[in-house]
Amino acid sequence: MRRFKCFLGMVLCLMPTLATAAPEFTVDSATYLRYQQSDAPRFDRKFQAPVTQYLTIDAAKIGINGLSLHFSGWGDAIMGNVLGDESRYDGSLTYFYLDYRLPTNNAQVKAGRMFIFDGLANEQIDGVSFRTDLPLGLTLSAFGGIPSKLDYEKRSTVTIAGAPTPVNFYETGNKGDSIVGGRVSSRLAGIMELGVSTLYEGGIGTVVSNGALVPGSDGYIAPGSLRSYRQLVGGDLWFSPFKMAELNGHTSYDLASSGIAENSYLLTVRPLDKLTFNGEYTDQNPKNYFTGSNLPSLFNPTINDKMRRYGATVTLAATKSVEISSDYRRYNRENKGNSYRCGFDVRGTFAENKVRTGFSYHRVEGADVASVAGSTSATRYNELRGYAMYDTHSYVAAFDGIAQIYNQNINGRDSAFELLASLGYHVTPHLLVSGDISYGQNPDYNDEVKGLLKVVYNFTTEGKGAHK
Amino acid sequence: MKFTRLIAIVAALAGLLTATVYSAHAESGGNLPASHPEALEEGRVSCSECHEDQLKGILKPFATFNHSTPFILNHRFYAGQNDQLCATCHKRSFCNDCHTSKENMKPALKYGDRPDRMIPHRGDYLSQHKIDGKMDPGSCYKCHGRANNEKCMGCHR
Repeated sequence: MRRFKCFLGMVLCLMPTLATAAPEFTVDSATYLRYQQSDAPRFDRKFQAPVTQYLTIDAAKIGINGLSLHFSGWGDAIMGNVLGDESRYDGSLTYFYLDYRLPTNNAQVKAGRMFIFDGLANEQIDGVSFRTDLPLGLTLSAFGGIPSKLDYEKRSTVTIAGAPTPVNFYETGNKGDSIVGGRVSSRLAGIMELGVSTLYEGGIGTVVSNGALVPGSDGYIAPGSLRSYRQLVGGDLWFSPFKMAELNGHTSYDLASSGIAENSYLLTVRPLDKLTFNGEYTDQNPKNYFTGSNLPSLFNPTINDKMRRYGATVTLAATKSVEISSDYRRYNRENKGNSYRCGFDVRGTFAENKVRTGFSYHRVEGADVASVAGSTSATRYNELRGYAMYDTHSYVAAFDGIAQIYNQNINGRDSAFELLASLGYHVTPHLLVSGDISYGQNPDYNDEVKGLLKVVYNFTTEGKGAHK
Repeated sequence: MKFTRLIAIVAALAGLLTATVYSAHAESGGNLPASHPEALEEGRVSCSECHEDQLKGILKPFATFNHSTPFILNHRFYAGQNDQLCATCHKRSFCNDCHTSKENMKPALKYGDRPDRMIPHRGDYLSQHKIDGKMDPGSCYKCHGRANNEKCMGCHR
């Protein structure tokens, strides 16, 4: 939080300079004032009124063509009841980096706090990344730095059989002290892209012994708890032998636990411009897929299970304004049984996109496991959702309703629902003020009322291009 | 200095050098624009409505990136290979509405006024997650397995 305040202060000081120096400068600010009142069985009625401020700043062409600065973060303060071990004040620096795009070959260098979505990497780091196209359809990208820490990380002292002294290790949080990774891909124009990527994170679960930091050793770490490193390799594929068919997917292998973590593939077939078939297949091995979790009590890598998911979706663009899709997805778990979810979704846009509406129905048949309130059929339900919104660019009005109707009561309720209404007004083209109010009932709350006041300010000096 | 930190620094410097030298000497490979040159309407876009050929710099057909329902549901496959293309129309903060390390407002709450957006956890997800989580914990893991799970820890200790 202190670091976030420091960065925020720095950015706010730099803002006037950036606004005058950068030919392309945008500020997106969103302020949310929420009111929440909940009434749970056996608890006092509680209310909270948190205020949350999001701020995103982008300044392009700062000094050099291709050089840009990007900042995004949020901070909040809670008025009213603070629940459990919540903090009254909180915040996060989401990203803050310099980005330099070279004039050719899609070459790009970034430095600072950033997110990396590349191949099998999905990481927030403080470091450097780059990418470039190479001859013969090859691309190369790499990143390195320090994984950004979670501010709720804490360590515990435990006595592990075989260890000479009590040792400390992360109880929550397991970010390492360094991370590197990269991806190489080969492209065959219009037909194929084949990528290979890797990631190594070191210093995870570092053992603290007698007050001195020593490198983690699997011999000191209890089975199923954290490992001292994380290392993944993977491949990704896009293959389109015919214009109407595409195969996308990836496979990842966890070297630390020596096994395939995930296979995930998607087949897309478009026999007609308006008709799309999708078939998907995913399998995950908890032993290898959950091994990097900081929450092993929930994502347990020692569980003897294998998870498999497959299904199909058919999507029809019935008219330019209406899209209908129907989906079926089956879930297999070796130690929990089989489940499925199926249904349909209709979406429409009318009056030059001013009116947007939709309706969906899904049926969920969960496996017969005693999972919710001791019930064996509480995992079976019907879900209905409907919404409509009207956006004139001056006024915005929206209504949204969602309900789940259970086969058997959960906590004495046979259904859950939430109704939400929203009304907004564009005070200027850059300034939107809106308010949402929602009411719901569900197995956890007798009733739940939420109100939200939102003030959104978007300022840009760019006169063209996408709104982003 | 730890070995892995040394690797990180060497890799970063090598990357910077490669990118700079290569880009200075290689033939122009058709840079993607930093921004889409034309303003786009709010809502879902269909790239192939205006473009017929394939994307320079990505070497894939425009139709691959039409924002249909299946594309949005499966966008992870496309972003993992082409996140630079995503950045021509979307700011990084657009991705971070859902994909982030720490968040205190669920996306459906932030965008209650945009029911047309396909955003996870609409409605009462507190009750719902007990069912979905049992059926498919792997789908929870993608966003909450390694980060953004401070609230999960309230019950799952």
